[in-house]
Amino acid sequence: MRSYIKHILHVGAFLLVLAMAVFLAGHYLMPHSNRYLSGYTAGGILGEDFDTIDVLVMGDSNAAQGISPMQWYCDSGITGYTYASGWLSVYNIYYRLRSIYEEQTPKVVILCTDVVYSRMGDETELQAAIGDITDELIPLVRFHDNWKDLTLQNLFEEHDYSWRDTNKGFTPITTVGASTRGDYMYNDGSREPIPALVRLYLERIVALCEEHDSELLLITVPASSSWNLARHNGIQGFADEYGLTYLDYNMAGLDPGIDWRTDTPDGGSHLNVLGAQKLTAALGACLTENYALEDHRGQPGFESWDKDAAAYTEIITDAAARNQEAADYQISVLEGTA
Amino acid sequence: MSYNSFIYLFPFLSVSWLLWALAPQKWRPGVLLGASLVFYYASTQRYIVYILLAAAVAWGIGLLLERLNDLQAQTRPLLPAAERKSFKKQVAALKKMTVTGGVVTMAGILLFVKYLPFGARVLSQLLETLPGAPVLTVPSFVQPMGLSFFTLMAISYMVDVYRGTCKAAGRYWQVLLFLSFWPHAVEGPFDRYGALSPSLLDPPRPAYRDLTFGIQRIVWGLFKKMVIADRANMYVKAVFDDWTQYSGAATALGVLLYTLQLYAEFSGCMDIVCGSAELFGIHPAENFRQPFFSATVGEFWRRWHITLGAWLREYVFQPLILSKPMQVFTSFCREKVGPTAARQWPVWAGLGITWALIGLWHGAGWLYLLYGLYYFALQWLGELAEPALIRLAPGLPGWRKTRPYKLFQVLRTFLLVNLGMLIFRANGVWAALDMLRRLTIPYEGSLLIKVDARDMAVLAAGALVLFLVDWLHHRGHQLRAELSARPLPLRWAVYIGAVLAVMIFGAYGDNYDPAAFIYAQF
Repeated sequence: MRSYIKHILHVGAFLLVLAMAVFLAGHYLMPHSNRYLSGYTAGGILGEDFDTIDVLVMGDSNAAQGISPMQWYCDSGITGYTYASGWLSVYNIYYRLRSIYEEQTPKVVILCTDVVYSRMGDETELQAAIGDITDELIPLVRFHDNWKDLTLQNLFEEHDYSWRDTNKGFTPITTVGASTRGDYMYNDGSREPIPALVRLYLERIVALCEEHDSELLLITVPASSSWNLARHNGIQGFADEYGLTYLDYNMAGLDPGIDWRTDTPDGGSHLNVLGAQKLTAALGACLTENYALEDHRGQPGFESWDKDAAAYTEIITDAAARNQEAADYQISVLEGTA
Repeated sequence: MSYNSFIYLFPFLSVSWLLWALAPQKWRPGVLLGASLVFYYASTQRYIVYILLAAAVAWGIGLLLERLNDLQAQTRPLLPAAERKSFKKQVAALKKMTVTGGVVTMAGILLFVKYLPFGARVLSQLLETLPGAPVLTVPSFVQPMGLSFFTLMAISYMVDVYRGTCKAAGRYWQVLLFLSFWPHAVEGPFDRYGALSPSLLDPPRPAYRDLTFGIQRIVWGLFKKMVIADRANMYVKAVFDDWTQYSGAATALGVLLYTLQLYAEFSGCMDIVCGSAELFGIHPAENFRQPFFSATVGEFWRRWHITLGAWLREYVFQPLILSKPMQVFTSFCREKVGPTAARQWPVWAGLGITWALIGLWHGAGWLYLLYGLYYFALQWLGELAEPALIRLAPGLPGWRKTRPYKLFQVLRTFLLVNLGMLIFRANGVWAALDMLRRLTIPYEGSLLIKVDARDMAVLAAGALVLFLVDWLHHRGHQLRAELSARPLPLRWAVYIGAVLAVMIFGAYGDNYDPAAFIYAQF
């Protein structure tokens, strides 16, 4: 018996030391700037002043390329941020949302639902869940490859997480690659079930938003190559069950006017600037109509937003012009006049 | 469920161990069987039926052989002396028929699923030369996980019972546990029922030493797989998949890194599976014994994938050499050629067939056949050239005892094995020949192909650690036992350093394509 206890204590002490070493190594391997904390420019949210974001958009690359919160600020003074990066899963989003709540108190959380059905490669649901949850709980696993960026000089440097993104998480894409899929939301009467673990984490996100008095809004970014009515029905069922508002911008009734010949850079997987402007405008109209969101323009404490808005206007004007040029060329190719 | 996946290492292995450790002794084999079936089902779903069927056939044949032995033992003394001999003969014939039936069934499953499409393709190509011949199309079948392993282990079980070297299992679950035991179900080793069943069916009590040593070996296996093999894979994949773009040093480095990758991965997998079994007090057969310290390719194959070589030697080569057709061939050689040919030619024929089978075991294709025959040719030519070499250099036997010559032999074997690896990994026979030609063309581009200088530094450091550990084992050191006698701070520093090395330098996550275990596909 005594040797059992001795062995258990021995193992416990070893695991404790190992855990400390793992978390210490994880700390040193975290990026030195929040610019590189996540894909696209999601990490920029850490550079925003506390409690300044009223609308938080969370999703994957569809959201990062499709929703431009700075446009809302320019139009109606709503402060928003798109926290999105490639292949972000529901599991990642749950943990990231939890950490964002430590610094921000968004009144509305918009969850882009394509993350519910997207999965990388041939991973099983369980593998994907375990991989993503481990990434979130053990920083060393998520940032392990950063050893390549370490030097003796920067190893012990303080982390600087004050970088702000002028575009507030939006990444403008100015190329065009037409989608020729035609009607992708035809009704075959089916409903794609939400995978069990994904559903569990969706429920946790719903509970987390309730706990922080945020209204959760489910939306689907137009994506002709990956979305369909069966998926819409799956999400609608979940929204109905939890009394959530669900706006699927792929549905004819909500179509923000996406022209699949010109508004996508990659055959309908994502939106380009032209598509993003339409979607952002439609979503912005919904936000101003249905949620009591303050106009922060000119308010004290939001000077940086006014400055960013000016820079954003220049960036987006230039990007839209380049995108329009590419769109005109695409149309001429499709019409055979190029 | 991959052996280096989080699901295997944590939920599966830790839950299995806890259930096993907490279960009463008589239930422990049941826990092992349950865990094996969960592992197998999680990896292959409905194809589990193949292993259930294989176990049923092997168990039935084993029982039948045992009954025949009992029948002989009980009946023979009661018979008149004159009838005993003929009765013994009849029983022997029945036993032979029974074991042949079992072996044919098991080999049939393997041939049907793994080799039928290749055979049909070859036959179709031959028929194409005849006018108006039909084109054969055979659907390819989904190969269940570990088919090449559990069918051969089932054959060895039946033959061992037939030969009387092990007792038949009384119950179906015992054979099923032996065949499906998860540490050897995917990539081997080829265990023998007689050697493994005592600890499998009556496992030792949970022991702290087994637990710690098992975990250490698993971590070492993960280091080889994730730090060395998976990082080397990035370079190897680029050079072999797009071989026409590379030549000279780039191709040579690709071949060298593939050898490193395959060794680190296969032996790493063996470390993970042997470590996993060790947690439960079970010690599967060892599959590697520092193969790159071999002086000849023959020795290399006695140290590399040891259990496959041993299996083929015992269940193919030896029966083949002693078979009637081979005896007829020996007589023919003696009468028509001479006594030397009668001594050598049947052995060479047997070796040729065995090496062809080693090649084909790795996969159904001409490339794998070429791979096996490459090693046969090396050994055969080596033996043929020996007398001429002695005549040319009479001092050779003396030089062979010197250190520089031994080093030369090791380097020569290493080079020849690398050429074999080129054949093994190439995308077909013509690609292999083209890559061999390209080795002679100078390469002027950067050698950092799909990797950066830091990846190369990790690979070099990993290879050095691997070499040092192998060298110490080669010198007779028992590293885990020796380390366990060192002061606690040193031990913990080594263990924690190893875990951190895997976690930090492992090629996993978003920036890497997960590489499946190569031998799992065989």
